[in-house]
Amino acid sequence: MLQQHQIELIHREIDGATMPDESAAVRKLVAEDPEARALDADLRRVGRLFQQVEAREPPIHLKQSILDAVAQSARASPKEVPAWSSPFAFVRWSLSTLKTAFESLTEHTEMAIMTKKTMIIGSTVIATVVVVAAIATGFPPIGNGAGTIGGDGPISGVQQASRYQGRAITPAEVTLQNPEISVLLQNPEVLKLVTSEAFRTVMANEAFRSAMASEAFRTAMASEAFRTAMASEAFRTVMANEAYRTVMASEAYRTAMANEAFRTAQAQGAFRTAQSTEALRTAQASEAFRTLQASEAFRTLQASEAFRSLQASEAFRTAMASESFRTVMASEAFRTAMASEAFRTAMASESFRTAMASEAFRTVMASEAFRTLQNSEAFRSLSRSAQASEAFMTEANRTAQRTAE
Amino acid sequence: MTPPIIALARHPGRTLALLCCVGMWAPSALAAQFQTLETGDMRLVYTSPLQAYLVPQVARSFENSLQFHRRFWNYDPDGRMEVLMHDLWHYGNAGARPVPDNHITLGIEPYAHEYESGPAPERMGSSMNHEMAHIFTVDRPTRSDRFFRSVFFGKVTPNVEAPPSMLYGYLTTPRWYTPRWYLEGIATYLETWMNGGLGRAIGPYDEMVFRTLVRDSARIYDVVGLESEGTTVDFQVGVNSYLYGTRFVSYLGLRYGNDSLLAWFNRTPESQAYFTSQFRQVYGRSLEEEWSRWIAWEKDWQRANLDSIRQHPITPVRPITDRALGSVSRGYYDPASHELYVAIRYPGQEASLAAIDVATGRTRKISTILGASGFSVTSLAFDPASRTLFYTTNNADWRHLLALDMKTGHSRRLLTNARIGDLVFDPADRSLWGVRHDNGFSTIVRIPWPYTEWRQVQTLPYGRDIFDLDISPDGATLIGSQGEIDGSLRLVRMDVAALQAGDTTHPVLFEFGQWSPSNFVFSPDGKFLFGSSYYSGVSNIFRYDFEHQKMEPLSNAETGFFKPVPVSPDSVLVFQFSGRGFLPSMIPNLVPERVSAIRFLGNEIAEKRPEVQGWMPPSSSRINLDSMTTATGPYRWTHNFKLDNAYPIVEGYEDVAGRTTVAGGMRFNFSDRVGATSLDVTASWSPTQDSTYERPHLRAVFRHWNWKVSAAFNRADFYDLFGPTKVSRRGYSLAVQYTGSLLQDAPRSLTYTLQAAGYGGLQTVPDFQGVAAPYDKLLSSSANLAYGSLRRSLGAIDDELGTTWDLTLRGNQVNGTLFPRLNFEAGRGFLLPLDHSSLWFRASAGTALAGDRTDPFARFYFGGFGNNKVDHRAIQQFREVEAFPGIGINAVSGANYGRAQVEWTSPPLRFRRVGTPSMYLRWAALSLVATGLVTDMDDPALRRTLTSAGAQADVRLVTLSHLDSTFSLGYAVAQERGVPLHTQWMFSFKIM
Repeated sequence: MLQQHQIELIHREIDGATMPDESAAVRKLVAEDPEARALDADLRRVGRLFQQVEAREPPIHLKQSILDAVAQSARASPKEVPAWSSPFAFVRWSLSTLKTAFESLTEHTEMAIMTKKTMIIGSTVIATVVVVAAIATGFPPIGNGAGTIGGDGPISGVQQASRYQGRAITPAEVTLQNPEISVLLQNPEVLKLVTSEAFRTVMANEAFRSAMASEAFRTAMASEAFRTAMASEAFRTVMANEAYRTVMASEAYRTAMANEAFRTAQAQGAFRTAQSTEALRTAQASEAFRTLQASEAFRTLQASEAFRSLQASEAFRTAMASESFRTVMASEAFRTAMASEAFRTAMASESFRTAMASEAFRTVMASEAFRTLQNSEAFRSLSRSAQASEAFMTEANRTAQRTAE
Repeated sequence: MTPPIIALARHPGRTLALLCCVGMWAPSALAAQFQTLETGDMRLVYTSPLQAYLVPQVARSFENSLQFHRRFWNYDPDGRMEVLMHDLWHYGNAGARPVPDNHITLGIEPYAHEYESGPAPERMGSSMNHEMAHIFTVDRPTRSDRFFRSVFFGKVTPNVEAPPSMLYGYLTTPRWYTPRWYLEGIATYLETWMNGGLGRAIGPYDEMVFRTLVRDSARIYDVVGLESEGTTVDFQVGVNSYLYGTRFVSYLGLRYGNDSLLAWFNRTPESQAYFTSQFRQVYGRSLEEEWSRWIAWEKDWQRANLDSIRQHPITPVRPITDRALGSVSRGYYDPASHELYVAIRYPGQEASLAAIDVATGRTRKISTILGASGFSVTSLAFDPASRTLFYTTNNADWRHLLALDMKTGHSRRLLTNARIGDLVFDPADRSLWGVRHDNGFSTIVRIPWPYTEWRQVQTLPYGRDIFDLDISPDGATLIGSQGEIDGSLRLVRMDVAALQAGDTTHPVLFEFGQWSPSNFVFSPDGKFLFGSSYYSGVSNIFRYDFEHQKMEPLSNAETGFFKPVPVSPDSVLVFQFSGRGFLPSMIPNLVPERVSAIRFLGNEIAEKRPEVQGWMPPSSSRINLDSMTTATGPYRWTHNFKLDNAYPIVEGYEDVAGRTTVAGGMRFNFSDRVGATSLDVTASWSPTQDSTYERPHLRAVFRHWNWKVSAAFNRADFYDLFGPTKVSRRGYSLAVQYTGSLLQDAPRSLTYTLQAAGYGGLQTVPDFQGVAAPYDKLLSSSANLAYGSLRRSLGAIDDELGTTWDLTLRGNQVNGTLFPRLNFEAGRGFLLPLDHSSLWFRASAGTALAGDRTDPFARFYFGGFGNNKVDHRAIQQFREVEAFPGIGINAVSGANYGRAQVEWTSPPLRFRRVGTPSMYLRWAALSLVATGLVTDMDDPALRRTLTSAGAQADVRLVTLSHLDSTFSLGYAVAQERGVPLHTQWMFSFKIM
């Protein structure tokens, strides 16, 4: 004859409430005991019958109507008289509650003694209390992040759900390799520029890539006046002039160029002829110019062959007649660029000057997208390498083709 | 003047030369961009040099995850794993397969954040954690698996041309033959803990789905029903594999612990090969039984959560429509028409833009959406002034931007391959704003009127993403949800002027802690924001008050509310989640009394099974990639071409006398690591063949990008063992084929195929069995132009509507005579109001252009259903031009012909619970077809006119989760004037 705990074990097995070891015990029992086998078969048959009654999904509206109706009727029901509306009523309610609680406790204690199932429930209740207490006290802590434990957060009236959170990934854990180059091509203007024939021509110029290494060159190129000046033949001729580049290398000349009176005097040919010219006299009205003239460096400059040669050059005179050239000369960026060896080398390069003379070059230089590129360290970096430039433009072309499809 | 194409047909040699010239550069231009980085464990191939910036992160994530899994499973996979990085999708995703090599594919774009259904931190790391779990759970071999891998020279991929490979595949990699929920369940479970708790195992979307099913007493699929129906017709389709898999695995982990859970997935020496057998071995009961227990447990769990929610009054909801809409996009309310504009995608019907009358719920279809995405359908924006809806197509891939004029109903494409989503319209200057995904970056873009170009406003650094944009009515403020590399999300505000001036700061408007802000939108007066968040664990609606800088709840929902649309000062339209998708509903614009939180299954696991908290790998930045790198440089297929596997085969060979003999042999499969190049060689011998010449059989097919070169000698075929269609032919052949694409704009495509072939030793016409060849040598060339635009609705079993046409010019040159033939066929299908039911009209015509019209090489042949008794081709062979149900194969021929066909396809009958997890029926469908044929139309003496009516029933059987087979039964009656009725039965079993 089957014992009570064996019957319950079979019940729980069919209910899916057994642990693996209990389940194995049931299977052994069923295999060995015909009575257990019969009970197991009976219960499973009943279970199957229940399973055959398929759950059907009611229409959404029907469900919603029922739920609404339930909610409304609950709200519409007459208000319950509070138990403590009078002293007598309060005593009666207290006694009644105590009695119910006691009966319930007794019954549940008996049940708990009788069945393991209830013991499990009881344990679960205790465990739940422990868990709740643990949550309330915050011990043991779960996770590292704030807000891990549920409760009202910054939104009033809403209990924030808890979520286990382990170690968070930090940006420092992410390793990338020059993402800036890829970011550059996210700009459609840049994309359009770099896929143009003009840009391809410019980037193919080694002297240009060399000049791009110079911060001063890039700063100068950012100037509108410089780009305008570059468009003039006279400017390019001057840039090709050896004397000019020698003079440009001189600190004294660059200092002098910062002086407006000097620039005006130079533009009027004051340094080509005797110093008694009108232009020079006008310049000498300026205190700054007089200070400049008194300096040793300026006197050395004036004595140099290169300076005199430059002043005598027709191309220089022509260039000086141009407003944009004078503006360029006046700019700090240009003077800084002139101090750069790379810039002067680029200016000395025939291919660079040829490139500058081209429409393509001027188009590229004039574009906003190019200035965006110029401002990018990644572009400056890749533009120094022919291989990197090629890879960059290959990808740019591929991206452009896809976009144009 | 001879048309060029005919001239080419007359000169196959020239055609071949042209093919060589045309195609030489095409694959190489693409392949030249492929780069590699190799370590001892991995060969990473990336498809563009500009992806190089991500290579260190991908490689480190790979090695980090690999090291973790090695320790975790105590197993080290053989050889290098292949990793392919690409930039072809709109959202980031990844996949893994163990055959023939362990291979991971990685899409590098930012993840989708829709409904917070897949929370994750840095995506390369989390993708690797997930995919590596797949590899380790399916690749690990026992001694017997290793034995078969050595016998077959590797792991075998099932191949329809050699059906025994199905068995070999199972013998070498048995755990690959498991349902997707099994694979995804453990991968998402492990990924969650490896990500520090960010994953579906603690997912609010998953809790919502099952809470809703329990609340509505809706069906929770059983283990067979999930595969046969749940992953095919439910609006969540494949997502159900993740939902159910994660949930069941999590339940097992909580209830029985992780040791037994991992024992189920771990292919240890003592384990059972098949996953259900191993389940019984570990848990002592059947999978179906435990699944039922889980459902019972799930109901209790969700009832408890519902009770928690119901502690406080539930927000009253008034549904607008009488049924859920499936998946929905963001919606826009038009006060002028009182309509809601939204894109919807429901099983059985095409995804479309729809207008819903808010008062009556009447739904009006505005336009079809091509390439709708799963959860969000499309990205939608609305310009009420010009009454224009802006939306995106091709949403899973490179999105196009379109504008629909609501006055005319006409759509026009504004930008192709724009790759822009999260659209929002700025009424201040008519510009559109959006988020562009390209090369792994998110870029905020502006598309000024007239929308001919987009402009970069700000590219976010890798790992930061922004989505769900909206703009204030005055166009001054842009808001969005911003995700960070650690997986955290916040609601941010951007000043439009400052943003355009280069300000890269995005001040945080509100922090929702660990929960995502979703779909926040401005109120019409710009004073409030309305959006949703799982702040309490349930997706509720929240309202942000700019004046008081205060966030307040607006709902206490049982299931979940999303995508709010403020329609009036006292009402908000929301999309309420239901088991059948999202239901547009109205809720009051009132703050509820109080909102309670729910519990998460994943949190219970973290608490009761604390070992999962230790399943997080250390930082990947500790990996010294430089010391591990063994090679870098361009990818070369010649260096990566190897034998994948080799196995015995059996084939049938029919000689000219019609006698079929059995041949036994071997098949060798070679391929490169990116799958662009392959070589299949099949060699067999039929010892009982009378002719010694016809005993050996050889076939080789080489594919390289668009090229295909095939050679055969006495070709044999497995399916010729069964017939009645036979493709085996005596003699030898060499064919070169090039396939190119003139248009690829899904679903539209226009492709051309050029082919030249030479045959020798012929006794039968290569294209038509049983037709004797008058000469033994043949030179053949063909040019084909094929257009297709076929579509199917969610849950379809076949294409349901669209257009196809196909033009073929073929030249057969025999004995100095050219037989050019021209053939044209077209088809158009319409989806009927009945879900998944279509009507198709097909027509074809062909003619011989020159030569003796009685010569077999100048004629077209017709007859039969076209199916073999055992087959691997498409089920509905009667749709092919050569088929004519009701008469015998090739029973009718003509030098020219016209053929018309009409077909009705029934909605499929779905089987919910027929079979076991290893073998079950999925659906049954019926086709009714009527066909008319006229041959030799220009010659009354030879002309034949036939009609046919028939039916074909198909039943789909799924074996070992991956192998789809179909039983087909057909019957047709054919009639020809003055000839008695012909009838024909057809039975076919399509293996895969």
